[in-house]
Amino acid sequence: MSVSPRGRALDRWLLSTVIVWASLLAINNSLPYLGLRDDSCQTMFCDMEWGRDWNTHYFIPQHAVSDVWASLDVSDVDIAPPPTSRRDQALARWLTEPGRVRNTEAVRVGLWQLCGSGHRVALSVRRADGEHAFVHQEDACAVDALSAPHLWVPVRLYAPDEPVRARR
Amino acid sequence: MGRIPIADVRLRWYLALLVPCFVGHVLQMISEDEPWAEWAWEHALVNAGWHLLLPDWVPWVVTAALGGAVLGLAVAVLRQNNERTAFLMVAVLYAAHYVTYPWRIRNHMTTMLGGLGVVALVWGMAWARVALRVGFSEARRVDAAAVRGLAVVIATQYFSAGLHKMNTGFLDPSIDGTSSAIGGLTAFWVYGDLGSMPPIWARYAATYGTVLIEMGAPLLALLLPRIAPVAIAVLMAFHFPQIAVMNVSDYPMIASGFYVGLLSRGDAHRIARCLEPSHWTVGGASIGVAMQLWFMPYWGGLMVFGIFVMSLWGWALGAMAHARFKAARGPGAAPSSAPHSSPTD
Repeated sequence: MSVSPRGRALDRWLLSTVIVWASLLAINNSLPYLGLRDDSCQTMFCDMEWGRDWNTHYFIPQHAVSDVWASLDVSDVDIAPPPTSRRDQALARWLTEPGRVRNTEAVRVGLWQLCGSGHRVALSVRRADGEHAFVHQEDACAVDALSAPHLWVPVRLYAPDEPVRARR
Repeated sequence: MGRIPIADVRLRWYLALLVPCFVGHVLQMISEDEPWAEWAWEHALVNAGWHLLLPDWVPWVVTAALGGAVLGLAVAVLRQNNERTAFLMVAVLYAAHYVTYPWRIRNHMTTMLGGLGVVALVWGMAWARVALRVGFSEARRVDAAAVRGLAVVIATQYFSAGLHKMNTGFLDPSIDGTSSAIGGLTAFWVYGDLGSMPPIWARYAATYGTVLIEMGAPLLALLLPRIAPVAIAVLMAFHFPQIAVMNVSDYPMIASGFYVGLLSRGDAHRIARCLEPSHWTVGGASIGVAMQLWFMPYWGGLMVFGIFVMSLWGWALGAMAHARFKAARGPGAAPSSAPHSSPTD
């Protein structure tokens, strides 16, 4: 059966649409290796671990171009004045729950809300990967790296916290 | 566009399967997210995303509207009327749900969005090129492209999942390692009364076999539509332990909605003629239900949903086997008007 030129052009156009869409999905699925996202990248049950420039994959290298993947150890949290609203109390509970490491972007989200409601937050913080020293911040609200989330990103990129465990 | 009927049976099946996919999604939300719970509300506050910039009621209104749209889609599919309009409403509301719902932005939501998106995009492009308008309709060609899009999307998703698993953790077949495959397999073995520990061959099948199936089966089916029914059966068998003991029957249901895209048009028509109740279909569904009842470790929302999924899959596998059996008996077994398989279907 012969296909008209219009039909062939339509086929090509629609096939291009499919390929572009699938390519976007493939790019999204490769974001874990750039340290940009693992939520919704088909990594569920994959058991892969990673750091800034290493991972446990057999042949795909890791090169984190951002810190949104990293976890933080947070301690010595002091919020002034003490939170009174239900929302701020919930944020304070999350920030001080023992035995957890917290995703960097999630800490930013939490502090952004606490700072926005007029609190001053002091804390000690260090990257949970490797052998980093704690750094004390008397006014974390003044530190963009701790309190300014990427608000243009529509969805979370990594889980907000996880249990403390042995890290490479 | 809304008045032009769906011109491909595979696409109509996909639209129909979206309804149980959403049931699984809702069950997953209810059983795991528990959005009414205090801890869930707290969790939403520290999950980054646009929901933080919106009034609290917005995600709920979007979710409720999506539920209404899915019901509308179910009615449209049943009446075979205005299916395109109903589908587009679901797709738009799902995109809004994706960027406003604070918890479950997981693999299953992205895969679902990938499928809804490719169909909506293909239709939109076709409409822009006057190929989906009354009087100028090339619906058969357009819907075939949408079906092919579903196949490409699911092959991409499976391939990525398999690729990520090629790491020292997942491929470790030892019982005391960290591999999720071994954890799932051990539960499957124990709850299925197959023994207290899976043998080494089963552990290699669960680890290396998973990678092989995820990266190979959908891609092969995409490239060689003739083997698609076999590839689909392999994928269903691969997902069974997850449904049976891992409490994740929602994702296999969503993935299986895309399997119709792997079938050639000819195979789809042959299978459609075997979908009525028969020894094959009822027998397949009964085996599926029995398997789930035998293996499932407890009663729960997604476990019961697993019974439905396994009955649906058993029914479909029975129909596929029946169609293959009739085709193997010779040309006299199938009506001469049956469309033939073609790699371009």
